[in-house]
Amino acid sequence: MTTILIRGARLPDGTATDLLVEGGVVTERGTSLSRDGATVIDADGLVALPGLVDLHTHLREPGFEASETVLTGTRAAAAGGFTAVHAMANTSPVADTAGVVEQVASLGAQHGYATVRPIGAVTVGLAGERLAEIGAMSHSRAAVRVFSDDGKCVHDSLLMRRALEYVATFDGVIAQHAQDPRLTEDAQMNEGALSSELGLAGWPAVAEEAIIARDVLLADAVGARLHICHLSTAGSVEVVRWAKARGIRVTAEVTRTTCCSPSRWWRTRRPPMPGATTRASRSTRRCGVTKTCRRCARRWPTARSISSRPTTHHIRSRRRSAPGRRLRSAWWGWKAPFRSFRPPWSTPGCSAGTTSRACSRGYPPRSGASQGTTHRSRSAAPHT
Amino acid sequence: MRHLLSTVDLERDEAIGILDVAEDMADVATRAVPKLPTLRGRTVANLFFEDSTRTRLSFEAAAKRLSADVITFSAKGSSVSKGESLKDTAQTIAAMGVDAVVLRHAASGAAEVLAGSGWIDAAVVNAGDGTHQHPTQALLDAYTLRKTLHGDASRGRDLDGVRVAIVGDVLHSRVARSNVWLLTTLGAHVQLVGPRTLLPIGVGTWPVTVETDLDAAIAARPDAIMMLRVQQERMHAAFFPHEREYSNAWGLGDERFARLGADTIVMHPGPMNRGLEISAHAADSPRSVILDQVTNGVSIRMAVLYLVLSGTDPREVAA
Repeated sequence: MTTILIRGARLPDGTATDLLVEGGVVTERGTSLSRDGATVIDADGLVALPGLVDLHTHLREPGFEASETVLTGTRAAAAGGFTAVHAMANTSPVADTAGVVEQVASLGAQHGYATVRPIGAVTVGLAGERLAEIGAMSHSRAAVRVFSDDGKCVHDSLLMRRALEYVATFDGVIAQHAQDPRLTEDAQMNEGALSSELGLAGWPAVAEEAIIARDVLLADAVGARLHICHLSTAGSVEVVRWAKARGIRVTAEVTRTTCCSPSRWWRTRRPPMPGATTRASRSTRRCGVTKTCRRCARRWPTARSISSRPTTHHIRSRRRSAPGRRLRSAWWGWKAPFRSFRPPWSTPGCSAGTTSRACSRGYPPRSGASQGTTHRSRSAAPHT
Repeated sequence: MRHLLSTVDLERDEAIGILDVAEDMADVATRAVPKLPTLRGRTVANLFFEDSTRTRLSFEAAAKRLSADVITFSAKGSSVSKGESLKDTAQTIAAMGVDAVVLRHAASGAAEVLAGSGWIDAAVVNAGDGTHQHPTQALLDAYTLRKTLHGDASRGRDLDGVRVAIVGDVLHSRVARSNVWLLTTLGAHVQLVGPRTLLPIGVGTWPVTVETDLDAAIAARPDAIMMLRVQQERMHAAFFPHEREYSNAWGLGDERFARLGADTIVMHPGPMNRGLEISAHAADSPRSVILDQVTNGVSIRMAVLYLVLSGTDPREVAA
């Protein structure tokens, strides 16, 4: 049994303490602890937190190993204090069968840096036409609980309803990439005065908000759990807040790039011309991330995490060479999703806060309790 | 002037300078030998990634009247159909030694990318980028307006107080975008007219007035009415129910044409859909300056090529 003694770590409440971790469980806390044979870690100036969980990463394996692999992704996660990552399904082949999700999960276990929880596709090949093997993936060794066509929207209302109903049978979650495909055909940047002036096809806020509004109502109607991926407009925040106030089981995340990059990117990439900056900043951005993030931070018990959406240099340079589509490249890169934060005191086996590594063994509990925690903290949150 | 990419950044003095240089170029056309040796030995490359008749021929004629050598490239039948990118194509042509590139591309921002990326050293003239800008078209429209209103006394004048109605598919029109900024800079009042589906989001922040009723716009007796082309592909994309309804509501038919003020001029950037946005009678009437626009286009493009290739500031030439 591995014994670790952490000296002088600061807990989230600000107090400094020693922590004794035995067999992955915090067994003792206090000052001046000592134990024979323990590995001592000097944590002076460091903060002890439970292992963080990223609900939205792209590990790109199988199929796009040039961008990222399970190994590189989980090493990055561990370096940032994340002990569990959810890997999105848009790989090649798509994670729409038990075989693929089991492979991804086992690769994570084999490397041992972080728990990899594969996310299964909602529809076969992310095509939005018929349901994928949701039940088989759920009962596989990967025990998939979250299903998402991320990168594509499940836009067919009937299919979305069926998916929500189906995952509700084992209390799974559908994570929706909220983007009405018809409203965003050829879209290149947020719709507004600036997109009109530049002649770039606009991406209206309503394309996201309408899907979220529909899906929270569907989730309510069938009593299922819904998660909204990379929410990016103030209107979406309003819809989710309304849904939460009604007791609809919905969670959401916010990422930095999907909200604020296009404008900033354009401002920096625009040739230096008189008045260029003023014109760019003149554009009123309904869906500025700052606003969205501030609202989320103020209203919801959420925490920020960082995960990557890696891509290869080849893809980036190819995209850059097509100037009309250049704003889309801002979608690639770093993002920082908000996601439900599990406070240390609610983590099984982590009664008083522990190191990331130690906590990883406790996560995720078999029944997907992380979402359950979200749910509890939601009801305790002020909805003003 | 290093490049000509957009009319948004043109200042009033600069724009008037370009128009005045174009007046000089127009005078050349009246000579027995309508040709200047100014750009002898310089090479102009016309890079047309999108189909074009009048703009390409106009630039070609302009360059030739200034004695420049012209190489013309069309995407059809070139390596672009094999997947060659804008960067590679531009660098390939630049490597053959060109001094100016005239670029038409389907992507908004293409000209700015080519000018600002450092891929090539040549001067870049935007001949239409996606639905963004088509600055030489706006300049030739301003020139035509000025010439029609002020005749021989137009040199050095702006368009102060001139009222222009731009009618039709503003949403997809680089001509409208270029004209809005240039004509406003020159002091004109621009009114955009069209169905809400074809007016851009946020048009309220533009320096224009917006009207959805063409009859009301005609009743206000504008000095010029500019009909925009309705592109075939828009007709089946739910921007309006069908062609007849569009034509009835926003087309310049004979009946509407009769109600136009006696001194209102009719403009169209071409190519026209006769019977859709403009009737044949209106297009061929004496008040139509559509062919003058084409003629003036050559003068404007001569002026622009001269200014970018000589690096002259149009304000100094005008002064």
